[in-house]
Amino acid sequence: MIDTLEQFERAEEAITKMKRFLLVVRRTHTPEAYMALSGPILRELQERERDILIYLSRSPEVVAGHEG
Amino acid sequence: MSLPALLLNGFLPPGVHAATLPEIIDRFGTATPRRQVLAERLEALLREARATGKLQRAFLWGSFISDAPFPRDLDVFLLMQAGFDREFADLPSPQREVFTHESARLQFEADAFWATEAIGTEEIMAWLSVYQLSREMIPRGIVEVLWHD
Repeated sequence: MIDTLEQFERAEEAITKMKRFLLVVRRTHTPEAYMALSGPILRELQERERDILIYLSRSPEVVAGHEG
Repeated sequence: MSLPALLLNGFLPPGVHAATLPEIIDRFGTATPRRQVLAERLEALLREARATGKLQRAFLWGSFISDAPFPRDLDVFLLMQAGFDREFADLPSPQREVFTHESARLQFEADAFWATEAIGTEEIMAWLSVYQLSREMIPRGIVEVLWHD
Protein backbone atom coordinates (compact mmCIF):
# COMPACT_ATOMS: atom_id res chain seq x y z
CA MET A 1 0.00 0.00 0.00
CA ILE A 2 1.36 3.39 -1.02
CA ASP A 3 -0.06 6.33 0.93
CA THR A 4 2.37 9.21 0.47
CA LEU A 5 4.32 10.93 -2.27
CA GLU A 6 7.56 9.80 -0.64
CA GLN A 7 6.41 6.18 -0.73
CA PHE A 8 5.34 6.64 -4.34
CA GLU A 9 8.78 7.94 -5.29
CA ARG A 10 10.49 5.06 -3.49
CA ALA A 11 8.23 2.59 -5.26
CA GLU A 12 9.02 4.14 -8.64
CA GLU A 13 12.72 3.94 -7.91
CA ALA A 14 12.43 0.27 -6.91
CA ILE A 15 10.54 -0.56 -10.10
CA THR A 16 13.16 1.19 -12.21
CA LYS A 17 15.87 -0.90 -10.54
CA MET A 18 13.95 -4.11 -11.13
CA LYS A 19 13.45 -3.32 -14.80
CA ARG A 20 17.12 -2.46 -15.22
CA PHE A 21 18.01 -5.71 -13.46
CA LEU A 22 15.92 -7.63 -15.98
CA LEU A 23 17.58 -5.87 -18.90
CA VAL A 24 21.03 -6.74 -17.56
CA VAL A 25 20.04 -10.35 -16.91
CA ARG A 26 18.61 -10.66 -20.42
CA ARG A 27 21.90 -9.42 -21.84
CA THR A 28 24.15 -11.61 -19.68
CA HIS A 29 22.26 -14.90 -19.28
CA THR A 30 21.15 -17.59 -21.69
CA PRO A 31 17.60 -17.28 -23.08
CA GLU A 32 16.51 -20.38 -21.17
CA ALA A 33 17.85 -19.02 -17.91
CA TYR A 34 16.27 -15.65 -18.56
CA MET A 35 12.88 -17.21 -19.15
CA ALA A 36 13.18 -19.21 -15.93
CA LEU A 37 14.34 -16.45 -13.65
CA SER A 38 12.42 -13.51 -15.05
CA GLY A 39 8.98 -14.97 -14.31
CA PRO A 40 8.83 -14.18 -10.60
CA ILE A 41 10.43 -10.79 -11.14
CA LEU A 42 7.86 -9.87 -13.78
CA ARG A 43 5.08 -10.99 -11.50
CA GLU A 44 6.41 -8.87 -8.68
CA LEU A 45 6.81 -5.91 -11.03
CA GLN A 46 3.18 -6.28 -11.96
CA GLU A 47 2.13 -6.25 -8.31
CA ARG A 48 4.27 -3.23 -7.52
CA GLU A 49 2.99 -1.32 -10.54
CA ARG A 50 -0.52 -2.10 -9.41
CA ASP A 51 0.28 -0.54 -6.03
CA ILE A 52 1.40 2.60 -7.86
CA LEU A 53 -1.71 2.72 -10.03
CA ILE A 54 -3.91 2.37 -6.96
CA TYR A 55 -2.10 5.33 -5.40
CA LEU A 56 -2.45 7.39 -8.57
CA SER A 57 -6.15 6.57 -8.85
CA ARG A 58 -6.99 8.06 -5.46
CA SER A 59 -8.73 11.41 -5.21
CA PRO A 60 -6.72 14.46 -4.11
CA GLU A 61 -8.69 14.59 -0.85
CA VAL A 62 -7.73 11.04 0.10
CA VAL A 63 -4.07 11.62 -0.76
CA ALA A 64 -4.01 14.91 1.17
CA GLY A 65 -5.38 13.09 4.20
CA HIS A 66 -2.44 10.67 4.19
CA GLU A 67 0.11 13.40 3.50
CA GLY A 68 -1.16 15.28 6.55
CA MET B 1 27.95 -12.43 14.58
CA SER B 2 24.37 -12.27 15.78
CA LEU B 3 21.26 -10.83 14.27
CA PRO B 4 20.04 -7.55 15.76
CA ALA B 5 16.72 -7.28 17.53
CA LEU B 6 13.62 -6.60 15.48
CA LEU B 7 12.34 -3.04 15.39
CA LEU B 8 8.88 -2.08 16.67
CA ASN B 9 7.66 -2.23 13.07
CA GLY B 10 8.43 -5.95 13.09
CA PHE B 11 11.40 -5.81 10.73
CA LEU B 12 15.14 -6.05 11.21
CA PRO B 13 16.96 -2.70 11.18
CA PRO B 14 17.79 -1.54 7.63
CA GLY B 15 20.94 -3.06 6.20
CA VAL B 16 22.29 -6.46 5.17
CA HIS B 17 22.77 -8.64 8.25
CA ALA B 18 25.00 -11.69 7.97
CA ALA B 19 24.14 -14.81 9.93
CA THR B 20 24.70 -18.53 9.70
CA LEU B 21 21.79 -20.77 8.82
CA PRO B 22 21.62 -22.19 12.38
CA GLU B 23 21.45 -18.63 13.72
CA ILE B 24 18.68 -17.78 11.27
CA ILE B 25 16.72 -20.92 12.14
CA ASP B 26 17.20 -20.31 15.84
CA ARG B 27 15.88 -16.76 15.53
CA PHE B 28 13.10 -17.17 12.99
CA GLY B 29 12.37 -20.85 12.58
CA THR B 30 11.12 -22.11 15.92
CA ALA B 31 8.44 -19.87 17.44
CA THR B 32 5.36 -21.31 15.72
CA PRO B 33 4.57 -24.51 13.83
CA ARG B 34 4.36 -22.46 10.64
CA ARG B 35 7.84 -21.07 11.20
CA GLN B 36 9.16 -24.55 11.92
CA VAL B 37 7.77 -25.76 8.60
CA LEU B 38 9.29 -22.84 6.70
CA ALA B 39 12.62 -23.38 8.44
CA GLU B 40 12.63 -26.96 7.16
CA ARG B 41 11.79 -25.69 3.68
CA LEU B 42 14.60 -23.15 3.85
CA GLU B 43 17.13 -25.75 4.93
CA ALA B 44 16.06 -28.04 2.10
CA LEU B 45 16.13 -25.27 -0.50
CA LEU B 46 19.59 -24.10 0.50
CA ARG B 47 20.85 -27.67 0.72
CA GLU B 48 19.81 -28.27 -2.89
CA ALA B 49 21.18 -24.92 -4.05
CA ARG B 50 24.52 -25.67 -2.41
CA ALA B 51 24.54 -29.16 -3.90
CA THR B 52 24.96 -27.57 -7.31
CA GLY B 53 28.42 -26.46 -6.21
CA LYS B 54 27.69 -23.06 -7.78
CA LEU B 55 26.00 -21.11 -5.00
CA GLN B 56 27.95 -17.99 -4.16
CA ARG B 57 25.64 -16.01 -1.90
CA ALA B 58 22.12 -16.34 -0.50
CA PHE B 59 19.86 -13.62 0.87
CA LEU B 60 16.54 -13.69 2.71
CA TRP B 61 13.90 -11.06 3.17
CA GLY B 62 10.16 -10.83 3.72
CA SER B 63 7.82 -12.12 6.37
CA PHE B 64 9.98 -15.05 7.49
CA ILE B 65 12.57 -12.68 8.92
CA SER B 66 9.93 -10.44 10.49
CA ASP B 67 7.75 -10.83 13.59
CA ALA B 68 4.85 -12.27 11.58
CA PRO B 69 3.60 -15.35 13.46
CA PHE B 70 2.39 -17.00 10.26
CA PRO B 71 4.77 -16.04 7.42
CA ARG B 72 3.21 -16.71 4.05
CA ASP B 73 6.34 -18.06 2.40
CA LEU B 74 10.10 -17.66 1.97
CA ASP B 75 11.73 -14.95 -0.10
CA VAL B 76 15.19 -15.90 -1.28
CA PHE B 77 17.77 -14.55 -3.69
CA LEU B 78 20.47 -16.95 -4.85
CA LEU B 79 23.56 -15.58 -6.50
CA MET B 80 25.20 -18.29 -8.56
CA GLN B 81 28.61 -18.58 -10.19
CA ALA B 82 28.98 -17.10 -13.65
CA GLY B 83 28.16 -19.77 -16.20
CA PHE B 84 25.48 -21.42 -14.07
CA ASP B 85 22.87 -20.13 -16.50
CA ARG B 86 24.27 -22.55 -19.09
CA GLU B 87 24.09 -25.48 -16.69
CA PHE B 88 20.93 -25.18 -14.64
CA ALA B 89 18.68 -26.83 -17.22
CA ASP B 90 20.71 -30.04 -16.89
CA LEU B 91 20.58 -30.20 -13.12
CA PRO B 92 19.07 -33.31 -11.59
CA SER B 93 15.87 -33.07 -9.63
CA PRO B 94 15.38 -31.73 -6.97
CA GLN B 95 18.23 -29.25 -7.51
CA ARG B 96 16.61 -27.99 -10.67
CA GLU B 97 13.34 -27.31 -8.85
CA VAL B 98 15.05 -24.60 -6.81
CA PHE B 99 15.62 -22.58 -9.98
CA THR B 100 12.20 -23.12 -11.52
CA HIS B 101 9.79 -20.71 -9.93
CA GLU B 102 6.60 -22.73 -9.82
CA SER B 103 8.43 -25.82 -8.61
CA ALA B 104 10.21 -23.81 -5.94
CA ARG B 105 6.88 -22.51 -4.72
CA LEU B 106 5.42 -25.99 -4.57
CA GLN B 107 8.35 -27.80 -3.03
CA PHE B 108 9.89 -25.15 -0.83
CA GLU B 109 7.10 -22.55 -0.39
CA ALA B 110 9.61 -20.04 -1.67
CA ASP B 111 9.80 -17.20 -4.09
CA ALA B 112 13.29 -18.14 -5.19
CA PHE B 113 14.90 -15.39 -7.25
CA TRP B 114 18.28 -16.08 -8.78
CA ALA B 115 20.91 -14.76 -11.14
CA THR B 116 24.56 -15.34 -11.81
CA GLU B 117 27.53 -13.16 -10.94
CA ALA B 118 27.56 -12.06 -14.58
CA ILE B 119 25.10 -9.32 -13.67
CA GLY B 120 27.87 -7.45 -11.85
CA THR B 121 28.23 -5.96 -8.40
CA GLU B 122 26.27 -2.80 -9.17
CA GLU B 123 23.14 -4.72 -10.14
CA ILE B 124 23.46 -7.02 -7.16
CA MET B 125 23.58 -4.03 -4.84
CA ALA B 126 20.63 -2.44 -6.63
CA TRP B 127 18.64 -5.66 -6.28
CA LEU B 128 19.39 -5.89 -2.59
CA SER B 129 18.37 -2.27 -2.09
CA VAL B 130 14.95 -2.98 -3.62
CA TYR B 131 14.26 -5.61 -0.99
CA GLN B 132 15.41 -3.40 1.84
CA LEU B 133 12.03 -1.72 1.42
CA SER B 134 8.82 -3.55 2.21
CA ARG B 135 5.91 -3.38 -0.23
CA GLU B 136 4.61 -0.68 2.11
CA MET B 137 7.90 1.16 1.46
CA ILE B 138 9.11 0.68 5.03
CA PRO B 139 12.93 0.44 5.26
CA ARG B 140 13.92 -2.96 6.65
CA GLY B 141 16.87 -5.26 6.95
CA ILE B 142 17.59 -8.36 4.92
CA VAL B 143 19.79 -11.32 5.84
CA GLU B 144 22.76 -12.85 4.04
CA VAL B 145 23.40 -16.49 4.89
CA LEU B 146 26.97 -17.14 6.02
CA TRP B 147 28.65 -20.48 5.42
CA HIS B 148 31.49 -21.71 7.56
CA ASP B 149 32.98 -24.27 5.20
